[in-house]
Amino acid sequence: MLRSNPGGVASVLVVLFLVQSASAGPKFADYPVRKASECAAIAERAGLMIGAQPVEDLDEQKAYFSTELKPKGFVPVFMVLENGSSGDSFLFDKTAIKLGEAGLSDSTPQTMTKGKAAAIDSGAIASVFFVPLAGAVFASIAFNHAAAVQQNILRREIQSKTLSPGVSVHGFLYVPVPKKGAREKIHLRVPVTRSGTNETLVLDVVF
Amino acid sequence: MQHAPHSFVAASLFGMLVLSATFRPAYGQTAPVAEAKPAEPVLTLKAALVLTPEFCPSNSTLKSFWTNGKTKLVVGKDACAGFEPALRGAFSNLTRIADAAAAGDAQVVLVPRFVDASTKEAWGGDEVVIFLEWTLKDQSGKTVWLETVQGHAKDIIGKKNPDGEMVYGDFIMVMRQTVKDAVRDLVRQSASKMAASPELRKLAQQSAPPAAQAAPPTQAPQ
Repeated sequence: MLRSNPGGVASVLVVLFLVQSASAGPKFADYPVRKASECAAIAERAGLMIGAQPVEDLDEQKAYFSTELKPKGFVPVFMVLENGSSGDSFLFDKTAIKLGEAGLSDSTPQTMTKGKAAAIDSGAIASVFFVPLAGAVFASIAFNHAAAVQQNILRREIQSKTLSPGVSVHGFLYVPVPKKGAREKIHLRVPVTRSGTNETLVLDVVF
Repeated sequence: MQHAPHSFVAASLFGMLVLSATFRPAYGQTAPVAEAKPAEPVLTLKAALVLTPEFCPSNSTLKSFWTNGKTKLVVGKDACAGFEPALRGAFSNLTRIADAAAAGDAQVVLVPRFVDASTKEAWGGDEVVIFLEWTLKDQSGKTVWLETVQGHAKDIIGKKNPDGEMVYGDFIMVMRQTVKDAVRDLVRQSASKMAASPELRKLAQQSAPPAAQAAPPTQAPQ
């Protein structure tokens, strides 16, 4: 019967293609992992180096996350921590990362100088709060294939880890920003504790 | 009039495709995950595993457009059943306690915490990912090891299992089994990562009596 009507066959094929496309789900490009020293903002202390690279371009956000995060009020920031020390292990706890506006209008985002660090220590940060976890981003994502997009966001999030000598950890933080217009400079304060001690080092990055 | 039968065939095919994608047929089983079986305890430490009454019945509620916060993954029950036997392979002495305050003379206290979970319903099979964070403290209460472990499983519905049998199942049954497998993966990875941790090996060496400190360390399970 279908042989007698090529139009019928074509419609079945079109339907098959559409169903397959709808079920295939979104694709997520691999983010090129970089060293801390190659990031836009870096800080180093006691052999520990941290790098932060915001992904602000909407096309890039679409490629890596299959959605534009800026209009949803977030900027994904690639973070990498490297333990270059020879004998110390450090505990990185992602829930301890704090965020605040730097309040340093002329600061250079490459590195923190002693002066800037002192300014931050003395309370120059306008407001400080904990960086929300990936779950906070989920509320803003409500569309077809949302589960796949959410899982990708979750799996790319940086996770708490013990950094043994020579070990690194990387992943994304999702930093809240205004949905419209330019953002203020972001200041991330990352506390890291030496394993088996109460000694905490704080690394600050501004970008 | 001539078009009616063709439209019917096309509509039927479409309907079957949609149904097969939405309600995939009957009996579920997921890819088996190897159990953690370290040959012998690699960490000569007296450990206390803290599994609180709140942790064991814990669920992870999914939030998405489709599930609207109503889907719950039962993760705590299987984790509580699996951790103790798996971690006995990593530590020379392991006690399960319900409260960290009851750790007594344990040299290391193991505290698990569920961080997040996610499911992905996809054409190629559902995927479940569960994140759990371990905090290990020494006798003085200082944290010596902090690690996030990721348990992952993917259902193999519509494919052959390791015995060569075709796997079928209803959605709920398959999802439950996939969650169980993700938890099993989480348990296996937890034991393996602890056994391989340089920080815990160092703690074991420091805690060992002087004669034992001279002995070479045992290899971590691969």
